[in-house]
Amino acid sequence: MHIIIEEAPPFEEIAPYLVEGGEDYIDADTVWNSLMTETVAISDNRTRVNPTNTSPYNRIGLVVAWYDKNENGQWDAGEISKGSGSLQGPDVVLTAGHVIMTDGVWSHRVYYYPAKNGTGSDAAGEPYGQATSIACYVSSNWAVVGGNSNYDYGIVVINRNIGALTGYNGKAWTSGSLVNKAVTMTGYPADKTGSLSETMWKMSGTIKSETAYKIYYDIYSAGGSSGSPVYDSSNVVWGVHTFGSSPYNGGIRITESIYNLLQTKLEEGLNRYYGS
Amino acid sequence: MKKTILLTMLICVLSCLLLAGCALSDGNDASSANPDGTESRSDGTQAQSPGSASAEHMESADGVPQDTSSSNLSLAENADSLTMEINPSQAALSDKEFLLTFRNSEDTQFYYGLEYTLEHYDGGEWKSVGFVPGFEIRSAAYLGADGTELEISLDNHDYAFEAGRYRVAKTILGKTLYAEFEILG
Repeated sequence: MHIIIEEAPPFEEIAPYLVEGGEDYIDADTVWNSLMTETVAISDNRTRVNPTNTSPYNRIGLVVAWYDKNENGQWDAGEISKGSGSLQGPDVVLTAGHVIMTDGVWSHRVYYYPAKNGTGSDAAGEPYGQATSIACYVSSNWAVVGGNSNYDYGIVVINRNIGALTGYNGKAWTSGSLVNKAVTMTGYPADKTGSLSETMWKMSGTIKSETAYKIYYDIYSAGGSSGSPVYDSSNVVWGVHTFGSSPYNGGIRITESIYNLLQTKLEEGLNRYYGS
Repeated sequence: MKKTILLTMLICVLSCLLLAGCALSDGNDASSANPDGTESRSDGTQAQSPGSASAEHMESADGVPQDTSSSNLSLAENADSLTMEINPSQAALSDKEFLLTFRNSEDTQFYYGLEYTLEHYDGGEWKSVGFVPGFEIRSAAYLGADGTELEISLDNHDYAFEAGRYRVAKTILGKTLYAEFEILG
């Protein structure tokens, strides 16, 4: 089941947004001009998470989206998109929109591997097995060719109550500034190979800049990191990694509307498994 | 007998209500107006529900089978069989669009990201060409094979391009591959 969440059309980026101190409002151009003066090389200080079956890491997983373009029922080159995700309810996975839908095209199926730890499919490699998508959600502002990256988030409802085994992440939004907030990003970068393939990696850093929809931080990322939760020391998720950029990498921030949507999906999951 | 049945039903109903209440109370949401006038809302990290694993169900609502259909994959273990080529290999200053193609001498697949580095040879060494500030490269990984293509646009780079040697560098499977092209004067 694929669902497009109807959202108001995006407004122009000239809309003011909040920066440091919660008092100064400046426009997007001012922020970008400020960023352009900086030359930053983000060091690769990622460390492997091993084991992965302890909190909060067991609430993070590998996301594999399969686009069966040639309809042969098999995974082929050009049909697989890999990312990361975090559990936001008993059966609710938050990831990047572009992992599960690209240029308005839905993936055929999404797989979630909680706390994946290597390529093995045994209990060591997949401590909680795998789950399959029942329903996928993206924003109507993403579900078009060249979708607006301010809305690059995806929600996958899976066919198992993984939350009963691992618990699930907290989440938060604020209209105040997140600049200078210490955060950690944890996920499944695919640049790790050999025995490190499909292993979990994390790195901590600081939110350096923001817009109303995005946060930018000094945390290294690579292909496969999309969908990784960006969370604070209390394991509360404030954002979802979606892109590499210059001078900082970044992702979408949890906005009020995303928060409310996740809360609705969380409550639906609770009702599904525990009754209303 | 009737009393026993009614009592049993009553216990069941109360148990269900209690369980549902426990599950929902885990939400523990807090909404607040902050002193600086901003709004925020958060919920705490959710704890595991003790003993609720039995509530898990494995069925797929839309009848989707559980197999991953990945058995046909033969993933490369290293990048020894991989090379990259770029077209055009010779370009005019006005040419901005290039096509990077992966070549694989073996019938295997590999995962790659969209990130890359563009470098300019200044006569002594290769120097990195920066991106336009704010340009975004999606951080997903994709399954590639021989012939997989990537579009590269010089318009995404903040650089005064001139005639000379350039190359695209990409790290795949732990090895950095290069594809060189020349901009003609």
